[in-house]
Amino acid sequence: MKTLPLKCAVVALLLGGTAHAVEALVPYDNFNPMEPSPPRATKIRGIDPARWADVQTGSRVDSVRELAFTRLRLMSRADTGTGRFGLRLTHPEQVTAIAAKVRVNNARSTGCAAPRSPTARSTTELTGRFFNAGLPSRGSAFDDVTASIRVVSRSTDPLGSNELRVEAVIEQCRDTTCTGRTQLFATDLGLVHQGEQASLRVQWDADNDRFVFQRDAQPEVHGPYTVSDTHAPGAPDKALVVTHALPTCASGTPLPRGYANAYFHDVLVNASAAP
Amino acid sequence: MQRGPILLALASLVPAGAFAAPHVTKLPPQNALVQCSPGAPCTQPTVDGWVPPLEYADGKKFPLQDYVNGGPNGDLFLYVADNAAYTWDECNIGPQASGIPSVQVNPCHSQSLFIGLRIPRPKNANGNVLNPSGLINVWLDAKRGDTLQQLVGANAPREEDRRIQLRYSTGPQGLTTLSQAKGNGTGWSVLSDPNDAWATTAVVKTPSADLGHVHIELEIKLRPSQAAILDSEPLSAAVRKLGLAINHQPFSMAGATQTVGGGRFPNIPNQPPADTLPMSWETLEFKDPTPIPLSFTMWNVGQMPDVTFWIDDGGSGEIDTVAKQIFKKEVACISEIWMSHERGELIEKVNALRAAEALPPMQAITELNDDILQPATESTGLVLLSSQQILEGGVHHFPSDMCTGSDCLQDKGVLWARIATPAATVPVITNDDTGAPRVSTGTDYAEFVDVFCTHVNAGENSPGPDTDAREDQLFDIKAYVQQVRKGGPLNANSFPYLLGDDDVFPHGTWPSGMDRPAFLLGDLNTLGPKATQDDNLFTPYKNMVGPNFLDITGRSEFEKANTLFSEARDLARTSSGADPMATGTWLSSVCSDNVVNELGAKDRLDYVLVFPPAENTTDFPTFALLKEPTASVLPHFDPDSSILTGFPLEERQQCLSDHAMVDVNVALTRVKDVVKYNRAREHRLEYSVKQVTDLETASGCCADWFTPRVLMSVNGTTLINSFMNVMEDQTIYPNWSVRTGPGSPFAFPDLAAGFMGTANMTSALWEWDVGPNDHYDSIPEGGSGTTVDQKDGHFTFFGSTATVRRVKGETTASDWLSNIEILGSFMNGYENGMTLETEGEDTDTGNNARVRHYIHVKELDAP
Repeated sequence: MKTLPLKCAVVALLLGGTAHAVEALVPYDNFNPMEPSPPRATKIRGIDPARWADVQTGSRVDSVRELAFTRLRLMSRADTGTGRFGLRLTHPEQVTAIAAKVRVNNARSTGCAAPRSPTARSTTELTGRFFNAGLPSRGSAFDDVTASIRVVSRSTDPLGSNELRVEAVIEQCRDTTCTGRTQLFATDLGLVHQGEQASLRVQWDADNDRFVFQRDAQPEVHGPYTVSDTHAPGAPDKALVVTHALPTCASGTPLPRGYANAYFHDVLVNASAAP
Repeated sequence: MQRGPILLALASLVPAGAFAAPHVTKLPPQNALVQCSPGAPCTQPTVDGWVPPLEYADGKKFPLQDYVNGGPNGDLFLYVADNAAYTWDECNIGPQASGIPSVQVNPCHSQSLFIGLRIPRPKNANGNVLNPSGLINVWLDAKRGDTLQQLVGANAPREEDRRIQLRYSTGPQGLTTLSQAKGNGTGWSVLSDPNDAWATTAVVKTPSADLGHVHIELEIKLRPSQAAILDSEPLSAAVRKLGLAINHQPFSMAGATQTVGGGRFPNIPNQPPADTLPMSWETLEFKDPTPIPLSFTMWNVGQMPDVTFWIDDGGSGEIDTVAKQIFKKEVACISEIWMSHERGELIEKVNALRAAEALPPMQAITELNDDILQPATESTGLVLLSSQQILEGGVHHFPSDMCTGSDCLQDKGVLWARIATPAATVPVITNDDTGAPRVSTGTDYAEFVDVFCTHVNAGENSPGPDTDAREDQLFDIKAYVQQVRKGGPLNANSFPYLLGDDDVFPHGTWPSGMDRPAFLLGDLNTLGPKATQDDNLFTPYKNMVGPNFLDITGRSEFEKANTLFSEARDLARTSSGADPMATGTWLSSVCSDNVVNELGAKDRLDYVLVFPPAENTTDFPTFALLKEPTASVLPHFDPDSSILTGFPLEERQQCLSDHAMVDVNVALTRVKDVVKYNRAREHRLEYSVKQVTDLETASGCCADWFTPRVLMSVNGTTLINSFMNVMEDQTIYPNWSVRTGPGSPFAFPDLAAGFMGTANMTSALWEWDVGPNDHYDSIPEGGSGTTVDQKDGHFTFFGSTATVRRVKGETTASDWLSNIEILGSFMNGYENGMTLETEGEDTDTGNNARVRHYIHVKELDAP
């Protein structure tokens, strides 16, 4: 504990120091209750309910959401449909930026045996709905705009590859639950190996009508949009999640599989959303 | 302590005349048919008045303690020859172990009990030894089964029982007189017929090679051939038992500063063997020794760090699946978990699985840190888990120049855990202050084995830089192991042992473990022979185990004389299953469900090795390894790893790791019995906090520990030591101590002979915090209260009974006497001390720790 202030400063410098046009980032949670960053007035056991709430949609055959010593661990194994699983920040309205260290230990996506069947996908994401591009309705995600930085496994990945892809996407929700989406922007941030840690950041730069994405110390990538951003989202949400999107395979054929197993730690947010 | 069932231990608590059950010693007779051959001859004592311990190597050693006069302890050796006759070429022939004279009885004698005694000689005021005299009584209960079954009349000497008396004097006019009596139903009668005697020979000497002791040897024929006493057949198949008691009474002599040399068997304080009560004698069971079973697991699980992300995990295993495979193991060395938080997670997962099955948590040695600036590879990558208590532990890193290639990105080394064997926690009944029997809760600090867990430099097996680095590491392991086993300290940094960077070690010293086998579990990255393969085909292996490096291949002097115990060193070389060759451990990253049948063709890199007792003296070790350990190798094929990927589809399958798991089962046994509390002598009392573990159940790392108060109060004087330098880790081994004797700022004398008072001890555990420091709770009582009585362990030693009790607290004087639990009585042994783990249960703050308290009443050297 005696070195805590130094550690916090280093984290802020490494992950928050390059956002020139936007708010600086500050620690939100490092998932180490014994030496928390930022410090807490009282010791919190486990996942801090003041900062995090569960996210869980779709169905899955196995899942883990736990504090794994000094990390958050999310794991989801599914064989049907779509879903997301993880933690959302409890006060998403003030959050315009999320950064974290993410290590995907293992991810695997298996599609259907039939040729030309849809791709299966599993992701590990920092994601949020930042504004509404239309007329928001409370509790409805329709027209909410999401931005995500994610590590993706697809069933079309090369055989035996342990390389995953880091991507940044901006999407507009087409329904109240944001199941259907229209992509406004997408870019490839390169490959990451299973087991390799990546520092990821997604940040809304409203003044410049864009999102800022950054992986590790690579140059920032700007995702512009042209939709209106003056309204708050109808269903505000900022989260750390693992997701799956699986095709429906023909009866009697092997089920598809979506599996993601990841650690998160040293979560940062914009300074005005500091806990 | 030779611990046995509760009922056996109960015997020591019952006053003479009301014996519930006698002490039992299992003493397997030396069987010429089984143990001796011309190629591997046995050793048998020769009754010549010179008692070299190794003549009795197939027997057992006991202390002789004089509870009347005090003084130094003597030694008693017992050995029994079985029924089978010896041929001339299979016993006492050829080169002998050190200390055994070249002239020995040959052929050896069957059906005999040999008794050897080494009795301290008294000294005069000038320190010169004198020539003592004394009387030895040997009682023999020939129909022990009747006595144990409490048949009418059996708890008195009967006609088949004998009392042999050896009256001796030493010096130029020394005399030895041997007489024998038989039971008469109430006492003893002179033998009317010489044929009624159990053939006995005895020799008493004061050898010039050991001026400090009188040497006495007896041989007693256990299966006489005379018809009149055929009932006296302890070696008959139906009996295989003998009641035996021995008492040596030294005679006082002019000029001696102190009468010394008394002693008894069974060695029970306050309970000498009674002349006419066979139930007060020891039961020798002619059976295999009492085993202390242990099992070891070695597994490289290939969990790679993120900084070397281009290297895939060894198999399909993750922390969860690894935990599921090992959570029921007894002692497991897990290598290649490079990330600190994954090591912490493994421990949490293992204990969550154990909790779900109502198993107590495993304890662990590993490196845990929260230092974000430290690369994950700067660790050994090892976790040593134990379902038995870990009494002491450490982490040693190899010097940084001992590596090649990518191994230099790592900080490989060796972990050490001193593990309490199951014998350390066998319940013993101890009387409380009302005389009521209670189950003691202390752990015997003498019942342990040292276990080491390592992972050495990878690379080629042909001579070159890789093998050079590996051999340097093996040499370093040997030096570390030796330093640990001899009792430390581990901050010595004296060649050949060199302190590594960021090493973790207990402060202070600890009892020597050189007197017992130690075990090395590890991925030694050295190709080894399987089953009967010739060592000469595996030169790096031969070098590894040979004298230049691990040095485990030589036979100790004890092993040269002993035929009972295992001399195995490489325990997983041969599989105990159908295929002895199925011990290969180096799999590929792709497996099939047939992998279990392919192990014989795989290379062997993972080992469970034995360091034999390292005190290669002419004395007994304390523990030995029973014949023969068993081994198995499991590859852990993962059916869930089977996936179809790509176009066209291909199936890919894996094992959980690219190394197979090695499992070994062993059994230790005690060959030297323990010293017990002797109130006739002066003692040093020590209280220490040996180990502190954060009981944070919802994750996190790491606490910063200190103590302002380690207290001992004796005879109205109180000494408080404080240790304010913060020690940061999940588990620390601080050895925060306080003791009687020299070294305190004021006179704080040792416990005098005859001490009948009490001594009080306590400690407080604190954690440094950015806010107010936290006083941790380390006892289950007191809920979330904040007083020292509600947070700290309190202990009292009672000189009258040599018991240690955990007590209520210190608020009032009577609280120090108010019993919560009894750790045990030093009259039952605990020759290295006793320990107790206490755990806090403060649900308000959650600031709970597990603390290992250590209390030792050590016999001071006699004048």
